Amino acid sequence: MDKKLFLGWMAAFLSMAFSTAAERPAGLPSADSDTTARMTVSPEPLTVDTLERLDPVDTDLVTLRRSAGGEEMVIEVAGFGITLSNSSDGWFRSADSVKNRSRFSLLFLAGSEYGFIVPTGLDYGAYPAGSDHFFDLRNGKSLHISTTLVGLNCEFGRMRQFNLRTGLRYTIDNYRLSDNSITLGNENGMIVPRTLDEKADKSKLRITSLGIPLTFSYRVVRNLTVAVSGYFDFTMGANSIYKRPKVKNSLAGVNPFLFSTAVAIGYHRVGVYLRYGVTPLFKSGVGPEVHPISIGFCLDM
Amino acid sequence: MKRILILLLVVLPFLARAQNVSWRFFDRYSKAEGFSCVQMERKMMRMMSRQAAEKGDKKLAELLDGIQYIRIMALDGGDRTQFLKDAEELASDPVFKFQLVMSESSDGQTTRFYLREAVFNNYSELLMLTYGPKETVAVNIYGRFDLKQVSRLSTIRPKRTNE
Repeated sequence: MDKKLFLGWMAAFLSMAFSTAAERPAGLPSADSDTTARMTVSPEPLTVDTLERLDPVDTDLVTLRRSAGGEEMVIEVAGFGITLSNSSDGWFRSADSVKNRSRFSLLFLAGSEYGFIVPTGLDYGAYPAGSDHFFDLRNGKSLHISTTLVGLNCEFGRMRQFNLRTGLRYTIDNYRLSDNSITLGNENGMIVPRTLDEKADKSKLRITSLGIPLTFSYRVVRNLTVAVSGYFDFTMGANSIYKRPKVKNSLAGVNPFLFSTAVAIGYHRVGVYLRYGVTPLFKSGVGPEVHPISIGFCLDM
Repeated sequence: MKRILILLLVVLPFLARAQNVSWRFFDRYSKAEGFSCVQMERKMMRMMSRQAAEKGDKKLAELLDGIQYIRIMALDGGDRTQFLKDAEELASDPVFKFQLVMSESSDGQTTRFYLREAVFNNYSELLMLTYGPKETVAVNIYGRFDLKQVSRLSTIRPKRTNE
């Protein structure tokens, strides 16, 4: 073995190891970036004749060989044997620091969503002509706010790239009516528009709900995450509100159970989401059929 | 929504292309005179993976399947200065984020190993550059793998020299 070569490699190897020792106990280099190479330098030259050749590749320039154990491959090129193995635990990441952390964790005020509501599939069905369009919304002012008050997060997968979350979620949906001169009320078991004596500053329907979310997320790369969610929300209150002065009336006819699905993509802790209400907002035959869509940004997904 | 989809459709191919940054370098020299080139592309790796699987080498099959390509470029009378300049440029360009992990020089023969992490898929890219009186070769491996060991070969098969 060339002593100079061996010492050079060992020096490189040791400097890589110590440069990251503080933050990555088991990883190798990169104090100034995230790259970690798990590379060892063989003190002995590689005896290629003991290794089985991979038949399709044996040219003047390169020969591919299978290691004795069959788990590795040696690329014999330019006088070097480069041994590759399966990417077992992500050699660019500090595997041990991840492993030491529990797979389960509690969440408080996590996965918050802030977005706008857009009504889709609006159908007034049984409403007489002329009384429809009362649930037209001012999209820019119809807001959706939602957060998981308390929850449980479970990480799984070899690199813990998968996440499953659930918990208790509080949601406020504000449906701002575009017509300020009406408010929503109940008549003969139906949701109907009621004309106000004078035009209000704002007129809206506010629905608060408590639900159980189920979110599955996948970390595509270090900071990029995609998530799919299902929300099982139970309506706690539905009020038609107009102001000013503020007048609040309870509204019957909102579906007591609302199921919605969402997709989200996030970078670091911030992302964008799209949520679709699978269950119609109002009970069948009581109000217009509408499936709200909410789009906006989310935190800590 | 339509605009967002169009934008994504336009941008995604570029993002995908950006994953293997050295393709331009190898593409250029594979067509140039005075260079010998061996390129084992994805299809070849998959074929080898299938063969390994048929032989019952499950782990090896998995490893081969994770490798996207192996490219080797050797100087064979071509423009050595330009080749080295381009290779060094590729390795040191901060945009590509190659990191020098090992460098050694022996009897005028310099060898450098660079690594980088691709943005998507947890892919890794190894760039090895060796130049000197013996030979001038660039090796590029891209895919999902761990670099376990680099060893000098005890039995070096006859290689072509630069001059």
